[in-house]
Amino acid sequence: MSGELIPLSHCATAKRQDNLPLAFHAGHYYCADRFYAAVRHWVNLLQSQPFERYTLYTDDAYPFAVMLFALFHAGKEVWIPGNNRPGTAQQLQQQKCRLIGDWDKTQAFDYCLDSADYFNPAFLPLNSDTKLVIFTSGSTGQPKPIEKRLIQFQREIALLEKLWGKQLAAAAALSTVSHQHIYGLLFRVLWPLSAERCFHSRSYIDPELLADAIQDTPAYWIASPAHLKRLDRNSPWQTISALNAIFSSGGPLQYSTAQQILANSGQSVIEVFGSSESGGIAWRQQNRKPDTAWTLFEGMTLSCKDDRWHLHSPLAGKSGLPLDDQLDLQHDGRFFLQGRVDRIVKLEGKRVSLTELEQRLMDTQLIAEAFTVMIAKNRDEIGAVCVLNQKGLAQLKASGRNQLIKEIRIALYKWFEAVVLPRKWLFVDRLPLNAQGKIDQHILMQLLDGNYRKFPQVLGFEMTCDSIELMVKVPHKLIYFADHFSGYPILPGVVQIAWADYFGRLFFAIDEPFLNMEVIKFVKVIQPEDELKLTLDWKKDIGKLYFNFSSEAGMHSSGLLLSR
Amino acid sequence: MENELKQLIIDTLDLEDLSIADIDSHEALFDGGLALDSIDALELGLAIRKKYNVKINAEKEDVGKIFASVSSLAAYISAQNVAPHY
Repeated sequence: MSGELIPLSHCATAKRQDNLPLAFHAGHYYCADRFYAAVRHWVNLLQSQPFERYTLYTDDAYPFAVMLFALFHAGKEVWIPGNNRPGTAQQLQQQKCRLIGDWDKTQAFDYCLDSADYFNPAFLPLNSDTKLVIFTSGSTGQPKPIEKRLIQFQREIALLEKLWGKQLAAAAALSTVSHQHIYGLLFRVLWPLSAERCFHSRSYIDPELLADAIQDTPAYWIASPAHLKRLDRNSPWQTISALNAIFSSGGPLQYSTAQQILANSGQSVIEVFGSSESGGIAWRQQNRKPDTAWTLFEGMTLSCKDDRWHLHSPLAGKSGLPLDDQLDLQHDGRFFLQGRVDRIVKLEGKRVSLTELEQRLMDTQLIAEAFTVMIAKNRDEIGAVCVLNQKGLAQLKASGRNQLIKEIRIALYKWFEAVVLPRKWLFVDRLPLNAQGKIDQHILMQLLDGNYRKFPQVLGFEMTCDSIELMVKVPHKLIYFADHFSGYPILPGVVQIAWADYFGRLFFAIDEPFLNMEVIKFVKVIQPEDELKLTLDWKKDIGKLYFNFSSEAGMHSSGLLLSR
Repeated sequence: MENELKQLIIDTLDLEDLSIADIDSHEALFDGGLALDSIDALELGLAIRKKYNVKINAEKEDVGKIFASVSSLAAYISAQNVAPHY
């Protein structure tokens, strides 16, 4: 780190400081001469290939840097996909992309990192107009290609270096995020290369491994909320407190997480807000007060037109870029984020279009109608509500729910990373609508995000306007089983009545209390893992809720709850 | 041991739609039918550390091979030769 930035166009040609490691990869430090030699080796090879367009995916960041600059210098067009799923590969190949890197799981790609191509004549710096293509999930549901020029990254690096260069000093960059997305690409590869800071090649999923890798060397951490919120009292706080900085991007960090990190390590996480289209937009550090406003990066302004916010940024390709976020702009120019305008959600830091997910669910030929929703909690999950078609229903009957879910997940896995595959499932005969005629998200969220220590798991339901049949499974972890009875767990009758009351209120919007019960019958015991059908009939005019728990073994219990 | 691990996977990752019988000991945990992800690996690693007192060091070991399937995971934990830790 010399204080001067090397332009990205010169990153594979510039004279760098002697003996400064450029990257740490597979247990070894790589200095500039080895980096340049590997780049040269690949430039020679690539120049002899007739293809023009390459799509680069690598597991590790150092080979990524080698291949990226080699492709640039060989005059190739570079596309950087967000993942290496077979569906992604297929789609890119259709766009005449040549796959290069870690695409084939069965065969390791040889990056020839130790090639001794020192004697080839050095080549010229790149044109700063050199472009690459990255992907983001657009609002239409299809991943959207976005063109970026080196000069745009260069300007952003200058902004970042001005704000935090002194703080980072000569520290090395370690990351828990992938370099295949814009944040990781910029923060863990391009910025370190330009500022002559060493970057670690592999991603450290577990903070403890990151701490082990740091040992006592100066370091900073490129993180995301998904990893930061999983820190707990056993995390390596001593190492974390010695870091020069922690960066977080990919979604806002919860205040409680920021506070925990501050309390345990004294680190005030630097959050960066941006998008693939715009590059960095703003930053903040949450200190003592919840919900700290965001500060725009130098040279940027916001304007609002037709209820949509637009960004004017020297980093964006065009002026007046519409933003997908709702903002609350303050007098001092800072702003608060108030959610997305489209149906893109961020799930553990991964962007996914719910529209695309629903389309792919229907593409399985098993599902007539699908609705997906994000359940934000300790581990963000996607819940899927599906109306099966004839074929789907037949399959459900033939092979069972778990097999059907497995099959649908495998079909989706062709297109999506595992993180975003639905984890919670409901099979219904129709999507419930609210009074406005829109899908009733409240009911679906309640059913998908169930508390299985107190309520049954809802597998699906069929409904008419005043009657509903819920398919439920009795979880073994219900708190009621612990002492009722030891060695012979059965579901208490009072819990069955409470469930009827709970689901009745949820589906029929009953707001008056029940005052009495009639004809309550407990016929057959209910045990852990039993699958039951709960039938509920609501007679609004007379205030009577009829319930009936039954299974293949027959009726278990029934009765009437009366509100007057 | 394998069934114990399957239950640990189901409980740790809240996979209510799976039962022990649905997980084949030899099927791929991350690329095959279960399609677990890196966050699952993190949480599973923590749960294994807690229950078996076994730490999987990604620097020194081939994590991909260890986490390949329930049976490879069980073999790895057994090889560490430590008793469950409650």
